Amino acid sequence: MKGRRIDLSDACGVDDAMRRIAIVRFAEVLTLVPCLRHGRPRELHDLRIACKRLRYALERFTPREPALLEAAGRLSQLQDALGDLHDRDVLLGAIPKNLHVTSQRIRMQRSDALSRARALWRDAFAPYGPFEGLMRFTGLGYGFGDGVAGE
Amino acid sequence: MERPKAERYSVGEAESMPDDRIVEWAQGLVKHDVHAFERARRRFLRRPSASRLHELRTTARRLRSLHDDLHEAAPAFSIKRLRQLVDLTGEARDAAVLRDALRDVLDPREHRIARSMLRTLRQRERVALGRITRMLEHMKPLEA
Repeated sequence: MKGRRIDLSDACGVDDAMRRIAIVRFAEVLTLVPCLRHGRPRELHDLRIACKRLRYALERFTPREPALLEAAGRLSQLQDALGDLHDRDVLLGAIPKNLHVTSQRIRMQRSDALSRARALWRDAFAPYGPFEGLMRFTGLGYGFGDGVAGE
Repeated sequence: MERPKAERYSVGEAESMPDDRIVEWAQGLVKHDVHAFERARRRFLRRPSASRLHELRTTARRLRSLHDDLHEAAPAFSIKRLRQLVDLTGEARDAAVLRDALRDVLDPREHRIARSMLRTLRQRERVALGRITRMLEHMKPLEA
């Protein structure tokens, strides 16, 4: 999934440009996050890419906006969990059909990775949690921790 | 690489030019990321390894993402070649990760059935690594 183009032509200074970029990239993540509930591979992969895009942007901003550091760290953990999940999806699609025991093990690993991603997401929105600074910076994400990624 | 704004925009586009402070900031970010990428490229070509491939892939992806976020304000560089490189490093990385993941999870009773797949993944990784090396050797440095 390609990231949206960001218009900075009327941005007023660097802080405003950073905010505009963070808003667009965070909105992309929030749009995709319902897939943590149903667990469809294609959308989970898109979510991972969106998390990565947001994380890279936030890491660039932290020298000027240290409050975003925690969110970048949490996105990195989330990206790892979603990466493990994606690898299992690819593996399940590629292995010979008669690897029955191995398939079963891979499915269990996939399920663990999905649970980990859900927990990381839910916990990120706790009061004073990792997304606090990001939510304040962008004005987005309020109310997203409540059951959106519930199992 | 760091062309002045006047060269990058036509007169008709002058009204949509980003703020000078944003352009200056974006130039600094691109310079930093290009430097990191070129260092990773030199290290990989000197002695290819899994960790150096990871470093190369990460720096290339960061640069691509920076281009996506700040293309209006950032100095131009060869994004097409960079995208190709990201795709190629992805092929090598996927093959290596899948092979490791399969080896870790494989039930010993099913090892014989999976043997040819493990071999194919190893071969796919080798081919991708060879293509990455050739591409890097022929790719012009992003630094001016």
